Amino acid sequence: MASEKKVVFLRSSDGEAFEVSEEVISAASVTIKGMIDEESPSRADTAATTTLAIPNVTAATLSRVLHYVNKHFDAAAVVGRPDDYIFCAPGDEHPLARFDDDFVDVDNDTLIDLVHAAEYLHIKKLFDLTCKAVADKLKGRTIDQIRETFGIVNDYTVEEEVEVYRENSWAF
Amino acid sequence: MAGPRLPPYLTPELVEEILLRVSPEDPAILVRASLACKPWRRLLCDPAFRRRYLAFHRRTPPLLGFLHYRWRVARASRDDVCLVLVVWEPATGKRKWLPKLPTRCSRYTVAVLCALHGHGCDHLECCGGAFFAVLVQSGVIGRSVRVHLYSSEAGSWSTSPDLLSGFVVDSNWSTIIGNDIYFVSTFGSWDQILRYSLGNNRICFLQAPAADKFLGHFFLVPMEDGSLGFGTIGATRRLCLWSRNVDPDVVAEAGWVHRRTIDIELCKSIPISVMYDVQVVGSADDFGIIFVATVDGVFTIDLKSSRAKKVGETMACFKIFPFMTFYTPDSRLS
Repeated sequence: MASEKKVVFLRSSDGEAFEVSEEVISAASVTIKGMIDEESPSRADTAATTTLAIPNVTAATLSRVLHYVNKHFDAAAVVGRPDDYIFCAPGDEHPLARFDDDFVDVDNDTLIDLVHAAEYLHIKKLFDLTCKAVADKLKGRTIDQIRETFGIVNDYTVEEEVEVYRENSWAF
Repeated sequence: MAGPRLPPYLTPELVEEILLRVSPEDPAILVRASLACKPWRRLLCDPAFRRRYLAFHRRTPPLLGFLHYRWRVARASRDDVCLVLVVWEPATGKRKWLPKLPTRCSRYTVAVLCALHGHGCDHLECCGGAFFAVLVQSGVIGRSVRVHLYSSEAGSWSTSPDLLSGFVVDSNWSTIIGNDIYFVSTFGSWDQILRYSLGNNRICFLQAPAADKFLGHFFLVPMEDGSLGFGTIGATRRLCLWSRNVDPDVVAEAGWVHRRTIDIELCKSIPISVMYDVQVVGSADDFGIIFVATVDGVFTIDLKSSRAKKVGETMACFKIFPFMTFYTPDSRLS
């Protein structure tokens, strides 16, 4: 019984269910681990598979998150697939650096959705990765481009703007 | 809920998490971000954000820039001059004019240090705080040397009672270890290192390691174990490091132990073609980094990892003053 690999289903906000190893998702997500722990007593005497509702995350985002989780938290998958190591450049800090780079090479809205999902599901590594990727998007952008990227409304008056530009002219 | 609003899909907490992760290598990014809207500016100018930013990136601060010069320009040619010194902080632009020195001098070098140096200060947040300035003054005739100490807290100069001879300084190397500041000489007397002890306001000489020493090819640096390090770059293009032995059980020649040799040709970022002349022009003492100038540009060499990195184009520099710190938007903005 114990050798049977337990799985759970996660249902996205738009109703799609995803299967994932209970062990893997518990290692990755503090939130889901909490949900599973709460469910455990009632599950012990039933063979039914648990389905957890994840109301804040869409199917598109959840499938990306699970792709990340399986890559990073499934020990068997990492050990069993040495190709990640083979393609790892000497300068890479960890074997999944390339995977991570590709993972966050997405459009702005997708990335922000991932930040929200990582925050809600409490997956620290993913939260760090996605926040850093958003931060990197600020690189080389003008103030107007930053406003556009983040949907910011400029609330400076013209006089204030002139003043702060003058004081910080080195940064432009 | 009137007033400016944050982007609809990012809470202030998430904005902070994202901005915390902006690379400290390019401080202009945070400054531009702070000008996007007032909520972002308030967040970035908040001292709490700075504390979190420093804690998040706590490691070697980035090299934000360096000052260099070929020769001292504003200087009377031969006569002794009445010196007025200004301490300048590039991060804030603040200047502090020091009171006139009690004497006139022609040849001198100055070291400025945080008043909490050696007392656990990591110098990331002490900008604008109390400091000492140590001025070593030497006369050409008689090659006498004397040290004056300025304390920002006392607001005045005091002079060490010691007067030594046989040492000439001229805007050259110094390094600070604990409460001691060490100086090397520019003209001759390269076998001598001058030590000034803040604790007792005294000076003395130490013997430098027995190594080939040429102007611009040797330097002082603090070692990881807190001892004084002495490095040379010789014609062999090897960087040799000695440390002043602090262990009385180890027999060391003239008190120095050879620590390691770094083959500069193996520092891959430095092109082999420029290897014929490598001069040491500066150091970031607290981080074990030295600056070398070649005809192809200025490079940093990390003494721990032996890694080199090109940081500037010109070789036309006599001395570099690196400026390594974390910069976050100033609270003056808010």
